[in-house]
Amino acid sequence: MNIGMIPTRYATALLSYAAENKQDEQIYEMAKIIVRNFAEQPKLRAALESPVLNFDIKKKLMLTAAGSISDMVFENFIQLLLTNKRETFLHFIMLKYIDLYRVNNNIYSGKLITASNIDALTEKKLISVIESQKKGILEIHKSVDPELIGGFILEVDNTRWDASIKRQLQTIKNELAIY
Amino acid sequence: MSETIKVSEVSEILRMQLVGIDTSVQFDEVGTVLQVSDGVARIYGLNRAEANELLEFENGMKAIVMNLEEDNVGAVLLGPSSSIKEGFTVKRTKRVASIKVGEGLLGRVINPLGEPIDGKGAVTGEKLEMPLERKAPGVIFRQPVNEPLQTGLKAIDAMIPIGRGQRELIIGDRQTGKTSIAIDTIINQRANFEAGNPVYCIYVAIGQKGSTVASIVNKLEEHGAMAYTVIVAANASDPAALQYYAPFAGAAIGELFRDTGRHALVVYDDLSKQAVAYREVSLILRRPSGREAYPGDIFYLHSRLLERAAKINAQQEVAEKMNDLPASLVGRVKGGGSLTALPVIETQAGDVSAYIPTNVISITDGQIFLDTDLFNQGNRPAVNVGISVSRVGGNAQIKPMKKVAGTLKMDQAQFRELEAFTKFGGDMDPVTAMTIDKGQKNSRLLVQPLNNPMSVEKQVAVLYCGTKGLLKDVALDKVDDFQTNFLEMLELKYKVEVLDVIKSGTINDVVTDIIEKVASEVVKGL
Repeated sequence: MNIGMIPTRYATALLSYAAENKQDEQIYEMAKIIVRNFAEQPKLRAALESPVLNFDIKKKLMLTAAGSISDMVFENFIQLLLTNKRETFLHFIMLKYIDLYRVNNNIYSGKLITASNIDALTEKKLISVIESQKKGILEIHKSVDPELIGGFILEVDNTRWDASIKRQLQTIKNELAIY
Repeated sequence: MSETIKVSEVSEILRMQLVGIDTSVQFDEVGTVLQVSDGVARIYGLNRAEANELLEFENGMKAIVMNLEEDNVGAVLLGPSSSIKEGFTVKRTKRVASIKVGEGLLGRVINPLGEPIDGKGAVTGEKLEMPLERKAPGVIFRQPVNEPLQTGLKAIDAMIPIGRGQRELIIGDRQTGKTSIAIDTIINQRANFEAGNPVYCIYVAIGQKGSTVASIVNKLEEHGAMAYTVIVAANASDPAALQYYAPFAGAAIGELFRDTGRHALVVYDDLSKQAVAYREVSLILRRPSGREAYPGDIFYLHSRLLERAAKINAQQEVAEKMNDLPASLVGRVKGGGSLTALPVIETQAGDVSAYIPTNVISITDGQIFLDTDLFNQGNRPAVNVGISVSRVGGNAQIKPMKKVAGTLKMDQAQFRELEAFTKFGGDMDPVTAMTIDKGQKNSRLLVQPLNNPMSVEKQVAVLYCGTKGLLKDVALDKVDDFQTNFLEMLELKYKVEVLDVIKSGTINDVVTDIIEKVASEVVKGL
């Protein structure tokens, strides 16, 4: 039950410390790298949870997961995590840090996934839909996923507008599921 | 994949289904799976998810929100963990977990999600959406239990009678006949079904072997009981979340009948396994653990489930205003219905003072305690009458049974006390000897073969013979023969004068005279 409270406290402390040292933006970028690495390398979590690996190995692992960028604030933070034996919460802490940083700096994230490459005009039109939802700095992540077959997916923070052919076919499949 | 064409694949039916599908674009609130293991997924995002809300993964699998934390949502998966990966998108459905219930479920075996698992195709007929979690009817929407639910077992109907709307716990060690009592009760409802006043039965199998469930289905089919029975199965190989929700699915099905003026019986076999499944889910969600590692709300788990068994007020205008009525039932409510619950709890080494058994004993309106020693001695059903009780009591018995079996419990209690002394040997006075003899013969009368429930009128007739000492000249090993011959003769010659009269709720001197006459004839014949 404490999984929510612990990362929030560490993330708040990290943001405050990083802001004092004017490193909050750098830590933000490192946090995004760490989150991406956790998604791409499921064994990273298992390694951090392992009681067999020692302090130094886990420290090196976390610094590597952050992109091997040398940063005193982040290194101190890792040291604190390991001392308090909270390294298993790193993923949640980084996610929370990203949330807190975005709120502080009025940043919101958007995602545009299309089935194939689209022209600049269409892309601009779709992005303007996202920009019309909120005021602030938009961080847009664009990607192409042929598995959508057709259409697109627009995401603004945690709201998704899925206009892909894949979703429609999945809906039909779920409805027609024969037992 | 099967290549056989199914009935539901007729083009016209497919076309109608396709028309009904909504593929228009909607805004969904989504989250991302961060971690999945042991039937629980931690999801990032979904800031506005609500407790007990149903979530849907991109592959169609469902989950239910159980933990709302600051930066993630913990949800239990209603399917295998292996089909969900980190990074999967999950969206809110904005509705609570529910099951589609209808008359088409009768005769079917389903899982807690309402999906048939008996290979007989989709469930047909009109279906209403009933929530798995629902508040129990309030005090003013209930009325006292006053109608018997006959189990067909002499030991129970005579001394521990169950009424419609009651919760009666069946508790005992492994292999003492707990499930058999429940199955015999279901089989005994066949007469009501044939007479047009069915008691619909729901058997919820929690954490059992698939082979056990299959043999129960076979048994019910052999006795023609599946026509009015639904089986909800969450087997041992199913995720803990399904085993946790299975009893709620059973309760939701029973509530459809209860709230539409009909009678239903739900058997939860067994709640010990549901408690274990809930403990597993709670520990994985890192909820604080209490006694025996169960979560702190384990009592609430069973109390809110069992409170849904009730006898609804017969007044229509009162019943219509029932609290927490699902949208699907508005306009369909009828008063006078009931939902009777027979929860089953398995004890270890006869310890009824353990945590879960004491919890459920304090919730229910009585318990039927099954004793291993009695079972091994051949007294089956192995009901320990001394510590079994029904808090509804005589209100759940027809008048003839109340009259005949009124002293039976006390007589048996006296017999058991005196029986202990006979083991010391020595002389006995005639009164003691008679009490012991009568007690032994009554105990023999109460023995009943498996899957052979007896109608209440026959029970009354047989127990009259026992309690009035008509068996005093019958040898102990001839009691079974006496019972068989006695009932045969009554059935052949005095069905209208005796059995039908008792069935109508009357017992008078004419009836008792005939019973005594038949009994003495049978005794002479032995």
